[in-house]
Amino acid sequence: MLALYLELIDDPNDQQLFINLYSEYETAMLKYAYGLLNDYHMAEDVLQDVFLKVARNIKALRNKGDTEIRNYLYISVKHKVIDIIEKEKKIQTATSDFLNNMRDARSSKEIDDLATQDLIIKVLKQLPDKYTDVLYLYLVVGFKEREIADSLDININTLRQQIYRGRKMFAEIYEKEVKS
Amino acid sequence: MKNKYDNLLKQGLTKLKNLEFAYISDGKEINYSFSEEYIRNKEHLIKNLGRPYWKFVNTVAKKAAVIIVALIIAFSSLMTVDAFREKVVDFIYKIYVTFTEISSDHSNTQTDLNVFYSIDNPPKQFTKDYTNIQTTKKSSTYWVNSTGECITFTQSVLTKSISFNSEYGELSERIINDTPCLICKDPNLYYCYWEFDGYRFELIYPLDLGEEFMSEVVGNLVEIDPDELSN
Repeated sequence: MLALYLELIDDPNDQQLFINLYSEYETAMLKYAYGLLNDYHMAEDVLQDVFLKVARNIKALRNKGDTEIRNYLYISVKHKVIDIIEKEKKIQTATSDFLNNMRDARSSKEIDDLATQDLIIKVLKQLPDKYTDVLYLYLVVGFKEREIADSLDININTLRQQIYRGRKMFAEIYEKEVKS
Repeated sequence: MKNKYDNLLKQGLTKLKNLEFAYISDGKEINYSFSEEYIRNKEHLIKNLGRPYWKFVNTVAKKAAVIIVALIIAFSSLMTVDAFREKVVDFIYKIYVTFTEISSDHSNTQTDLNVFYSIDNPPKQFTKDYTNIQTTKKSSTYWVNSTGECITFTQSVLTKSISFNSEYGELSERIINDTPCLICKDPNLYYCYWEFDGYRFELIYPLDLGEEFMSEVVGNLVEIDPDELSN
């Protein structure tokens, strides 16, 4: 199976990186996807799609830190899950609730604890997940706009808008919080 | 475009995302085997996506296919126009004729029909029908029998080309009465071509007269008065 992925990658170093990512994160990604979907079959579909995108985007992952790559993979899984839910319209009305609650349901306590101490986290918690995801990939991981758009299956203009709005919203809330 | 809050954002986002995904363990506690369908789908998807080179080849192939289809459509459309169709048919016919034309390498060339030859002794059941002299370059005489079968004897200058339909014929070369002949046999007729005295001769006759008739004619031509031809 692994060899089939490797056909998409020319560089031996990239191949090795992909092997490492595959062996290190596949099961964890499945667990994450299953946790969001509660369906192994759909979770497998998500992994399949994400790993193909990783194979195609492997060059963008060169020289990235482990944590950044890990977060990138989980963000990719999360966005694929959102796509699936929106496409299948299974929980059409619940989608927004799902997105809103997703973070709370998992990392909630630690983030909440931190938010009370850390103003920046407090402000970021008020931003929609999609904004913090793209801003993370853009500012922290250092992906180019095109790489993010391809990874998350979104239009590049939409992405630019999300980056712009995310920055703007953060600035507005942050300034407001500082003043208060 | 760099924003003045980007540094704050970087710090905050790093913490936020690390915490967001920190709860996900390495997943080792999951005892799950990927389904066959998952593996099969993965292979299928990858096959369809193919290698980067394949994408290039595929693009070229698609372009080529589009061009070919466009040319076929354009050609088909043009062929519906009579004027164009006729030219194409003429062109193909010319090529066909060119490749079935008889030509010869000769030194003793007559430029006009100064001497006329004819068959000495045509089969009894055939009677002379008429002679057609086309300018001074070519002369054809026809004999017919009661069933409508016909013998055609043609004399022409060597510069005059002769063509025949060789689609169903078997071509062969043979020496008859010390004369090199080109013979074609199709399902109905014999065609025999040879040169003599600076002229080319063509004999076309029904198969039932047999190859012997060629032997009787080739090398046994008789010279006749032009006035006799018109009789």
